[in-house]
Amino acid sequence: MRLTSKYLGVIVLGFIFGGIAFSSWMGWWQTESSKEPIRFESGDAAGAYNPADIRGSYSFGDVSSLFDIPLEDLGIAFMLEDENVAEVDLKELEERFADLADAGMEIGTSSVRMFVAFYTGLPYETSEEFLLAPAMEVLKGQGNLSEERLAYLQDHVVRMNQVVEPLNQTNTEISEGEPATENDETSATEHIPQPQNLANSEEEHDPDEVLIKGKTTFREVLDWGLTQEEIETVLGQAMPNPLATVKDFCFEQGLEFGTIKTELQTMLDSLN
Amino acid sequence: MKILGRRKLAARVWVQLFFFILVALIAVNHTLAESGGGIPLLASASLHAICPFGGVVSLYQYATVGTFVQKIHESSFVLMIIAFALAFLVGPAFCGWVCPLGTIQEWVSNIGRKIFKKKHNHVIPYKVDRVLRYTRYLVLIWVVFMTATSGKLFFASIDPYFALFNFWTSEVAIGGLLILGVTLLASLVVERPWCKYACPYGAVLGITNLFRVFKIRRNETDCKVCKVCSRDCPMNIPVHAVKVVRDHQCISCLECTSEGICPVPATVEFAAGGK
Repeated sequence: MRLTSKYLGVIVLGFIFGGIAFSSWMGWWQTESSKEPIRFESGDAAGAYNPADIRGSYSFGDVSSLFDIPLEDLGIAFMLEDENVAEVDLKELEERFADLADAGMEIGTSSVRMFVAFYTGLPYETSEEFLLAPAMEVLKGQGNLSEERLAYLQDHVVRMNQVVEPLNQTNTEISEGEPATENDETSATEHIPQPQNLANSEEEHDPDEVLIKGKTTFREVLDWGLTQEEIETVLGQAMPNPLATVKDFCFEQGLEFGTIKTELQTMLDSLN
Repeated sequence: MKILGRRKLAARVWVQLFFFILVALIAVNHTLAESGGGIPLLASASLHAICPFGGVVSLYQYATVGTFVQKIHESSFVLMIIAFALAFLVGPAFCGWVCPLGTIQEWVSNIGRKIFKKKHNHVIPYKVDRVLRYTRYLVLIWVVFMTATSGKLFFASIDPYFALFNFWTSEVAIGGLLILGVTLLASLVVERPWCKYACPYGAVLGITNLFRVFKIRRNETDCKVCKVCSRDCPMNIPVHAVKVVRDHQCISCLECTSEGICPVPATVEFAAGGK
């Protein structure tokens, strides 16, 4: 049986587009990660999405629709009012607020997780996340804050004017910046610079920094200097395949990622 | 017997052009989509999501952990299976008909052929070339090992295909751009240098030439041994010297066939059956 170039062309096109069509029909064709967090399996929140599983690849539009939070509130909380909030990815926050991360008050995906949990009243174990002052105002207005959460928030809110204003000053204040308290005299929303300006620090963000995040694998933790035994001590059980992410493993095993992350980070920090 | 000049099979030219434009548009659309825009009705997937080699390098992690390497998704696995099925039937047609990096190398080679004439694609001594052809298997082992142990898409930092369709973004690595530049320059004197000497995915698909259903077959009775098939083969395979082409470098382009460059009808054909 002979095959000419025309028939081979048809076969190539047929295999590729036929295969894609078939896999789409079967639900196998996924060109991006699923944007659906895991759900609580027990307790009062059983069945609800778990804010702790929000990923950096989600957009604020995804968060809004998944947790039924108005985009307007998200925009105010994360200072995105002048933008198309729905289109902004959470992973962009860290870069936008790079100066705050340098000062140990990172505003990133974990901040959104905490905001969502506090906004909706869903369970969430905090682990040194920070929020911007406007976010606290939004949460107060929402009225779902318990006294315990409000107290935590007051110690973990970043008043932008206190920390980085004015921008043309040295970063001394940033490095010395302490989380604000409720008694600060300055209005929380005064002199708030636009977030993109915050990324204009002369200090480049170090992509190789030793920081445990949602995508950090056990392989990376090992490479950074911890031994398998040390990791297993923190986990309280055997370490899985090093290619697994710490976060996914915690979710699978019912461990609190925030707690594990903090303990591992402390051990890593002590190495440096 | 008059030896005809180099002929290009029209069907292959059009299919190659189609996939080159399609991938380029998807890559541009991905950039536009990230900034809130995008071309309606056109996919905006990342280039990693539509590269079947991503499936190959993810196999180990998927088998051991059940997850994909970062940036790789189910679509890469689907395309990997499609390309394998296609290769089982007709050999590495993905390389010869679909891969845009192979296509652009051919386009640059068209310029080189005009400059270097008969010397083009015949500059590397046979003994050296024969050994170099296996380096792509070393690249394959290296990339798969590094990806398996790191859990990251290691190849992205040196991938000229990714660089070709992402040179305008900050995602592209300098290593990828450098290798792309070297590849395109080398294409002026050698056909498909990346495919011949370095492509790890071509190395995988090339193995199917040993058992593909449709093979390049030469009718020894009719063949005049003019060697034009071997001279014109982009991968420098000595087609005139074998009855059936099982060389791991064949890309099923059909240029050597009687439909392509062979001047004798029904002598070199892409056919199934027989030994």
